[in-house]
Order: sequence, then structure tokens, then C-alpha cells
Amino acid sequence: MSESATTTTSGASRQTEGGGVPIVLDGVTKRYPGTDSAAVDDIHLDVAPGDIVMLVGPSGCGKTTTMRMINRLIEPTSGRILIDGEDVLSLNDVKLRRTIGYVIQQIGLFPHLTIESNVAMVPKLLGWDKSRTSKRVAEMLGVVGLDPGEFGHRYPRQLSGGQQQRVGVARALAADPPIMLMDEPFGAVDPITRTKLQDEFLNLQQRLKKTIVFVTHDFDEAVKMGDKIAVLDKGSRIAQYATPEEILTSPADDFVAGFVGHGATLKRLQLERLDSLDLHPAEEAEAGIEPLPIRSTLHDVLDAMIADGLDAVPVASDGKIIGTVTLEDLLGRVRELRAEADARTGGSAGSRPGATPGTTPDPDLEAGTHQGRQE
Amino acid sequence: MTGLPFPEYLSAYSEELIGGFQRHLLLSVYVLIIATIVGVVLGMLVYRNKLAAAASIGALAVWFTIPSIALFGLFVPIFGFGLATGYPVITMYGLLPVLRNTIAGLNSVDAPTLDAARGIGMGRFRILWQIELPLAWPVILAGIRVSGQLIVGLVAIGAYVGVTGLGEMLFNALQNLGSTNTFNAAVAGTLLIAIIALLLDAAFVLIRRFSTPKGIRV
Repeated sequence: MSESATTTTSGASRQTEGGGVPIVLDGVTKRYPGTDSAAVDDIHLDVAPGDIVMLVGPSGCGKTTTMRMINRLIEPTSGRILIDGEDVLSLNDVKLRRTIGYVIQQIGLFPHLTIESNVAMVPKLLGWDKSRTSKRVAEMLGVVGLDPGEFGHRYPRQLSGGQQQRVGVARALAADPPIMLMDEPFGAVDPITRTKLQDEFLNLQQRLKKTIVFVTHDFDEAVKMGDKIAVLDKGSRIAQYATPEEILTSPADDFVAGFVGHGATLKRLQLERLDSLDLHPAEEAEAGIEPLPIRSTLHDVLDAMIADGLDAVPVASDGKIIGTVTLEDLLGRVRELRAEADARTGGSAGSRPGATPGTTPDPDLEAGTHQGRQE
Repeated sequence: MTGLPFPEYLSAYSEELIGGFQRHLLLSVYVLIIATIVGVVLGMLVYRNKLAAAASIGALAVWFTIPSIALFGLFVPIFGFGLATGYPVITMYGLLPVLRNTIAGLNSVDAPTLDAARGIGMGRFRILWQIELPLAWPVILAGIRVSGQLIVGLVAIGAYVGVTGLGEMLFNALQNLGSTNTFNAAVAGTLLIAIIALLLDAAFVLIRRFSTPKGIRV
């Protein structure tokens, strides 16, 4: 793989990508004949270009149906779906799908075709010439971290689940669609691979700026991946559509609060990075403590403090210690976030269970996080 | 048992035997090709429709239960004596394994693969041609292979209605068993038919090997 590293970077930097386009769902309804309640009931959703919008909700809430109506794998019963201002219902459905990336949990690679041919499928459908297609295929495999020379001629079954989903993402991106639909894309791989794929995908998205509708039932994934989260109840009723920060600090109702679950404050800390705090001078740093990188989340910081029984940890940037952060800083930041949320909602967030930092014992804090660290 | 010793019989009647062998093999292959084309096309037409698929398989299965001799007898008054009766009747028998496996094979392609194919913008026909058929191919081929074995046997029985394969020689010999060389003819006919069946089977092993997409070869 040493050779592949160079291919990957050069391939990535050469790449020129168009960004995303806005998606608007306007009163979209899906009613299956013979059923009383609509699977998706009059959903309104604005997705800004370049955003990852997470559709999250319990099984059967209609989140996948909602997503599949965007590329018309399911025909809406009524309503309008606008992509870049154009009503998709007026377009040829097969041609429409060639302009929308599609990634599903079960991946669905074509087992009889090589990895190259799988990735080349949409460019071929669009009539790209051979040399442009094969160049693009090699480039995309590089982008998702697979060496085209090593993997291009293999077949899907010769790859691990994680590698297959990388190919799935490469296939979806191959024709540079402005929009991606992703249905629990990282749901079927092991947790370590999932985290890795999520991180890599976020990095990729920073550059690609696609408009992404991402379905998941995993709220933590929604918090991690989403620019905005739409929490859906039965019939795709939007219980709340907001940024992860907002949903964590001020859930709109009990349904959302229930979905956020315990440890909302800790999850909120995952969204805050050390660079949002004013650090104490580096001289205060105790010697002999492993410093944390400045890109760490406050969740990581708290985890390190608890694991090692420290109330101050040095912070490093590019391997150089640049300051110190204390437990009191963290708690102060949490109080600030609470105050912001209360100001936004007129104090209603304060009554939420588990939202009082420092006083309410948090299950994540007592069990999960600490044990995870002891391994 | 009268007549020549078997090896001498073979060399004395070699021309006749080889001719019968060739006719039998070619007739079988022709019928098999027709049964394959009709069966696969019919399968592609009905596989998405449960009712149509069940109806077509059911109809052929009923046909299949009727003894071939009876059907040959039934069709001789209509199409006359000879290949005009033999061809369609044998083809109908050969259709069932091909059709059944085509339908089963096309329906065995797993749902996520099809969902992905639709989702990235492949049309109905393209999915059938580029995804479903290649993936169903090993199953379809297995059906054609069974059909081939069936047809080789039926071409022999077709001798009753004038299908001029090795069956003619075989049945003549069996009817006149005890006459000169009839035992030799019966043994030679049986052996040659068995050889045709084995040759066809071997051919399918090769076809399977070279025509199965590499990614799904087991």
C-alpha cells in the first residue's frame, strides 16, 4: 500500500468537483393503497446546498421512504420535490437517478463485475468516453482510499465489508453528482471500521461539499455527521429540524428528548473542540502528562481527565504544548452552552432530565466512557 | 444371439452408425437450441409477474407429466409423420427445465443489488441484460443442461414418429431381437446415445466454465 498513498494524494488534489445544490421537499406525501395512515405525511424540508442533513428516527417512521422519494425510487403520492429549483417529478426518473449518488447499507455492488466496472457504471450510463471513465475510476478509488492498481481488477466478494462500502461510495461519487442519498451506509460494518469510514467521509465532504441526505437510526451518528438533523416521528412528521447543537441543548419536545437519550450533555461536548476554549498558559502544565491535540473534542478532554484522575491537561498543537485546560474550564463551557440554550428557548431546556451538568450522575460518564478508556 | 462379433459389427456398419450418431446429436442440439431460446425468452417475459410465471411453469409441468409416446401419437394426425411432429413435441418437453431455471435464476438476484442498480440510474432493460441475466446465468445453464439430457432421450423415442436419430435403429433391433445382428444394433445404439448424452454434459461443463462471470464463479 505504500505506492497507493502517493496515488491517493495526487489523485485527490487533482480533483475538481462541483458543489451541491439545494433540495426542497414541499408537502411530500406517500400513501400506499389500502393503508389508513400515510407512510410519509406532508413533509416539508429545505436542504441547503453543501449540507449533510440527517434523517433520524425510529424504525418505520418513513425516513427511508422520504429519502427514496428524492430520486423517485418511490413515487410520491402528492407534493413537490425540487432539486436546484427543478421539480424532479417532471424529469425522466432513470436519467434523474444518474445525477444523484446513491449509497445503501447492503452496498449492492454488482458481484459479477470488477471493482473498476462497478465504479465505472454511472459514467458509462452517462456516455463518458473510455479514457475519461477509467481516469475517473482510478481517481475515485484513490479518493476512498483504495489503490486502483491493487483493487481495480478484483471482484466485490474478494473485499472486506468496509472496503466494499468504500467502493459503494466511490461508485456513487463517480459521475460527480451534486446530491448524495445515503441510507445507513455505515450500518453494516464493525464499529471501528464505521468510525473510520465516518471520519474519512466527513473529510471528503469538506472538500466535495455535496448536498447529502443521510438516513440513520443512530442518533450519535446523526450528531457526528450532520450539519442539520431532522428528527422524524411516525409518518415522517418532523419533530425537530435543527443543528445537532440545538437538538442536544434544547430538544423541541419529549419525543426528541427521548430520542436524544441520556448523556445529551456529553454528546454536546463531542461537538465542541478545544479551540473554542481560552487556554491557560502553557507554563501551568504539569510535566509528564500526555498532551491532547488542539483538535480534540471537549468529550475527549473530559474522558482523559476522568481516566487519569486529572483536573488539568496540557494541550498541544503540532507536537508543541501551547496551553493547559482545566476541568473548571470544561464546566464553565457547559454552563455557557446551557445559558445559550436557555436564552434561545426561554428557560424551558432547564427542566430536561439529565441536563444539569456536574450534579446529575450521567450513565455514560460513570460506565461507558470510563470503561472504554481502561481497555 | 446371431450375427457378427460386436467389434466386427461396429466396423462393418460404421458408416450407418456414424450417420445415426451424427443425426441424433445434431437433432438433439437443434431442439435444445430452440428450447433454450424459447425458454429463456419466455422466462424473461414472465419472471416479474408471479401469476404469469406460475401459469407458464404449471402448463409445461402438465405437459411434462404426459408420456411422450402418447403426445407423439396425439400430434401425428395433426402434423404428420416426421420432424414436424417430433420437433415441437420434444421442444415442449425440453422447455420446462429451461423456463423453470430461468425464472428461478432471474428472481434469485438479491434485492440490494437490484436496488443499487435502480438507484444509480439503470433502466429496466439494462438491469435485466447487464445485472440479472449474468447473475442468473449459472442457474439458467443448469436448466439447459438438464434439458439437454432429456432431449437426447426423447429424440430416441421420437423414432416412433419418424425422428431419424439412433432411435430408429434401436427400436428396429429391439422389435426383431433374435434376428441377425439385432443384439449388436441394440447395444451399439444404446452406447452411442449414452455417449451423446455424456458429450453434451461435458460440453456444458466447459460452457459453464467459460461463460460464468468470474466474480460469481464458485
